[in-house]
Amino acid sequence: MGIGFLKASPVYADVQLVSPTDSIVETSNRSITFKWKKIDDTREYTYMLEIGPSIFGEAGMWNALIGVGSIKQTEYTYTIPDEWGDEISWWIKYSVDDEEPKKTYSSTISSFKILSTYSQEIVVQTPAVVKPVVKNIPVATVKLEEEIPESINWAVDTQSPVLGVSDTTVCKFKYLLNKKTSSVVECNIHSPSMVDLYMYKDNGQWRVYAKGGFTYRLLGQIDIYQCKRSWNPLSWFKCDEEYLRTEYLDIYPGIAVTVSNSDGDIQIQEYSNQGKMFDLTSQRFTDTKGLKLHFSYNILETKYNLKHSYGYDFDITSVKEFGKNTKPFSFPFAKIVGVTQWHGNTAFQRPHTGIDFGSTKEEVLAVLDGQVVANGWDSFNGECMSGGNYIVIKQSNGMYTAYFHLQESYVKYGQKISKGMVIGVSGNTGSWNCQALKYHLHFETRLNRSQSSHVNPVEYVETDWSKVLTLNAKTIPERLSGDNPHPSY
Amino acid sequence: MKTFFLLIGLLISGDTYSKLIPNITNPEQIIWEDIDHVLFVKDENIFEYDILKDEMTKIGERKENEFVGFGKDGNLLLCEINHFVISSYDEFSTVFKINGKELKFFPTIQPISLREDVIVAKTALDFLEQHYYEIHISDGSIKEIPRPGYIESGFAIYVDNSGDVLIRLNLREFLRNIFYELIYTNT
Repeated sequence: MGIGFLKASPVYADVQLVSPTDSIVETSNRSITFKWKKIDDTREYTYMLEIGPSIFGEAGMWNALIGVGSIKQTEYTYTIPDEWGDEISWWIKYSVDDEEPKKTYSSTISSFKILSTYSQEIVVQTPAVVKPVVKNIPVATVKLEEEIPESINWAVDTQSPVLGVSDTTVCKFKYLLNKKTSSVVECNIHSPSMVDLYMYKDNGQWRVYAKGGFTYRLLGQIDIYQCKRSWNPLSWFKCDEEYLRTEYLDIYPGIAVTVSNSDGDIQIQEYSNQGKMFDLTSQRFTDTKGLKLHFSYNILETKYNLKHSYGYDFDITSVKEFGKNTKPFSFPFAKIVGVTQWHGNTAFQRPHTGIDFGSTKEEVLAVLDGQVVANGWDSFNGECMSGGNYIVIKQSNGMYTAYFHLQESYVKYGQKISKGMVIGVSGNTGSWNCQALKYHLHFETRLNRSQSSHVNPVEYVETDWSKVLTLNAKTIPERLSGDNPHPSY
Repeated sequence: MKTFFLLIGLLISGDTYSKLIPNITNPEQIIWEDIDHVLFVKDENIFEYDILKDEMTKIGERKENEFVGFGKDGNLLLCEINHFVISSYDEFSTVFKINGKELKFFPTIQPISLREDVIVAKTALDFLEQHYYEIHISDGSIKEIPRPGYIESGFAIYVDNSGDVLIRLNLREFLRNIFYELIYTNT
């Protein structure tokens, strides 16, 4: 059973995937060796290896992002790009060398998950005192794994020190059962990687912006000991440790980030973390002397009474002109409105040139200062493909925005518009294939006046897109498709 | 004995019992054939799942633009769907090909159920105003109907977020339906 079952095109069993298949692959550098084999030894084959993220379309179709062709051997090593994520699928396409005319066959698709490990070169810094000031940071959660997956090659036995034997990063703890106390034996936690770390001027004062990736999961090895029982009274007041067993935990450490200068801590104004990435903006401050960011990992677990912290300091010296809030447009409604179709290649339209907000008769706001350059009834593609009442505004930054299917428009051609002004009311005017549309606002951001210059509004509208939900995505999962900033909801 | 206690437990508590159906994920169609058989349509394949035996058998194939249903004789019936871009209200945006017949319709629709002579169809595109229709294959007639409801039978098949398919039994609901059936039959 497996992903191969999803494939729509014919599958032939002459080539079988050997590894990795339906498993977890540990790697420190995302370099994966793909292996396959052919059943028929009497003929020569030429192979193409196709790899991509495990993203399957609505009909179970999967598209590879890279194909490595003309391979004669039956293995190939490829480094998976970070942006593909950790869930990867692959298959082999192949042709038989002496077959004429040439046909291309495919193996089944196999999927695997990458479990990133860290190299031994990481220098562990001295744990620092942790002063978490950021709210809403997830508290460390620890999930007890009932069994270690066999596909993980731990390469250690329970008595051996983990580090130095395998390149797997494991935090190793010693737990004394009688006293219910634990101590750290070894624990190397990767330093967070800073994607952006700089200060910028805001109203004559400074702010810090930081964006980075961190280790969100660790493998914990708990060696459990107990004090040996003895009838010898001399041993009653000391603990003669006896090894019992080893258990493994999946540890999700809590993280805390602080920004400080020579005056002390600077409060954080905005903070978010999604998966392995965090991003923060500090409050305004004046003194840049001794400016630094402190990042700490906190392991807290109750079953084995684990308490452990690691800290890393980053000096902030880089200066940028603007902060991260450089998106030019505001949200086109006074409140958050959900989406029924995102921009891009969606399950319904390829491409969908804007975002459809699921609004019924809501006031629509200008997203920046500008001037109305077109308005009226859209009949550019005929009455059967009409955007209904629409407005196009040339914005003060040179871009254009367009609003379609309006119930009412409150602006005139040539009128100057100011940001936040009510320009109309959303509706369901217009049609598609001569049929009535649902109520929604089709909102476009364009680089120039032409619709073909459409760009993803998510990239240009400043709002917390994590709060802009895909409406009814549970019953209509196709709505999640396109350039959805949060593909799962 | 264990099953007996499980059933009694389910009956008393009103809880549901769920079980993963193996070898199928994200089916495009789920069709109840009878009380213990379900059809799954996945890509070009049509599978029959025997609930009691927990067995999946491939029973047919279809083209990707074909909708699967049952004909009068209980055999599989395939309805080919073709959509067209139109530029006037006199044109047809949907053509169904079924039993050698071509049925043409103005609205852009897709079947959601096909049993014997009747196709229940709905607007095919999410961003259009949603309508539901009843179509009779024999004479090609179409009429708009209210949104069809679903009957809770006690057994349900559902697909979870990861695409796995599960069967869920609500024993209390299941027995209630049998009693209703008996009452209706006797009157």
